[in-house]
Amino acid sequence: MNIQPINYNFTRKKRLSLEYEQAPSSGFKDNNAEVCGQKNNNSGYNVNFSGGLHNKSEAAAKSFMEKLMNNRGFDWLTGFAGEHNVAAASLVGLFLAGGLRPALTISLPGKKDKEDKIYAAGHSMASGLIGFGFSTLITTPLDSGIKYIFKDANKMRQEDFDKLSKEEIADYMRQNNGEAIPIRKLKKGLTIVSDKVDEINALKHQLYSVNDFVERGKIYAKIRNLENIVKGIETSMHNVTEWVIAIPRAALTIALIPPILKYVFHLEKRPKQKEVKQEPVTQNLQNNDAFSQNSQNFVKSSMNDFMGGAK
Amino acid sequence: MNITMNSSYKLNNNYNNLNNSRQNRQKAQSFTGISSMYDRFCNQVGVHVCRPIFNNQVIGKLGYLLRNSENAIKHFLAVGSAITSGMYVKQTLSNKDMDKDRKKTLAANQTFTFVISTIMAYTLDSKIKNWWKKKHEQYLKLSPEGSAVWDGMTKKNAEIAEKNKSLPKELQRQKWSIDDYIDKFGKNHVMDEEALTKLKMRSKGFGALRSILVFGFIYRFFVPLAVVKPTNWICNWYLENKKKNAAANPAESADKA
Repeated sequence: MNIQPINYNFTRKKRLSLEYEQAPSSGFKDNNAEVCGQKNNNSGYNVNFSGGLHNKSEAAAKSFMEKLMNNRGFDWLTGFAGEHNVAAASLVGLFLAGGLRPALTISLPGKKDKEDKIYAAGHSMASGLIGFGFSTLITTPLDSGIKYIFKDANKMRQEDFDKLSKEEIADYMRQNNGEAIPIRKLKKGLTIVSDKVDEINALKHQLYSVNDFVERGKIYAKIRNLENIVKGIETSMHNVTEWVIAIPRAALTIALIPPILKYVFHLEKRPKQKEVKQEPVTQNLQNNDAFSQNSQNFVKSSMNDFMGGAK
Repeated sequence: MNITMNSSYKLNNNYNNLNNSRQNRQKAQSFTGISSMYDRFCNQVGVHVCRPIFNNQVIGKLGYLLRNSENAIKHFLAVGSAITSGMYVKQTLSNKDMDKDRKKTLAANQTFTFVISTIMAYTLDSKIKNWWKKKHEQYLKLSPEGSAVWDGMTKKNAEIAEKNKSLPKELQRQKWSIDDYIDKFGKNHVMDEEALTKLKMRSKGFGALRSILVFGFIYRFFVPLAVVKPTNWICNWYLENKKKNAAANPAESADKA
């Protein structure tokens, strides 16, 4: 039995060609949407219809990723994430907590009243906005400052430069397309990095005199290890600000949520006196119910409202 | 056959190549005003704020610990979240308006939620690692500079792998990651300094974005929507059960109190 008529491409006003009616057992791989129905061809019938256009489905999937990666905005995002890790994390937080989460909270069906959902969404949006604003304001100049002192610490110190022979300088110039050797400006700079850089330079200097293959290999391994430590220090310096600002950011978020809700989102909830009297503690447990508390206890209830993770 | 040379692309046009310090200096002079003032401000922040704060052995040790970490940002995000969660747990435990049982349950709930979400984030991050690497290649190869750098890295790593076969473990060399390779050998492929800096930042950012997106998704979206409610139900169920038991055996509960 071979029933095929349902596998018909209506969109193109054309019967499927024979190659699709008889499933290709091997030979070529076809990724078209219409191939979806061919899995059952061995059983003698085929009732699956994908409905997609010929030669379009995989191309569409590919083009989505390519479109995203080709986008200038995405280029900006990757550049921003590379330069400012903490601010990029809070930007993603802004998108998720400030946009996606409130939208989903409001759209989800539930027994809770609508007002609570709006407040929960406003709460989430406010926390996303403050998190992003605070992180960006604090960490962006810090990141640039770190970049400056880090770049300086990576340069050679004057004493080491004076020790270099003419051949070594010529060798450096040849390797670096004729660029001048950068010399450290800050004497009291970032010593945790500059010490490592001096060590690396000393090891590189050793390479000129060592010819033994095994010894050279060991020196290369040491250099690589030191370079990795320097890289680790750079990452730590850029990201440790996340820890430093975590507590003040959380406190600021909690303190600024009520005015933001009131003045930006024009949301103000009246306290439910009866409910507060009956079950003051149970209300605290509900993640998005902080605003059902008395407005005077708002800060405390917001603190209790947190259930884990970086809010 | 038509062959068109793209002369607007800097690598193909020698006159556009900002490859010497004089041209770079001239270009730098064009950025004046607010931007240079901001740069000077940031430099001063670096010297007077960042240096005293970060120039210590704690950061040095962190750098040592993270020397072989593939994407260290995730650890910082997890610890940052632990600090925030810890603060809220402390706040809950010191809250005078709550009764004792509720305080403990809520604190346990907060800790439990943090642990679950962190495990989930780490798992998801490692699951998509290989897929993300493919996308990283795809992303870099969209530009000719990125393509040249990626191919250079692949070639170099193949050479290292070939050499390592005949070497003992101690002497075996580490393969290059794309970011390290751009730092070290980027100049060999991309002559334009500005283009190289942009490429470096984008490549670094693309790698970092994986952990940022995964941890952000779990901590800021998935957990508040999907994990908090079930843990609240468990807490409420536990407290109700406890109340029932206390009501059934009032003598025992009085002894405990």
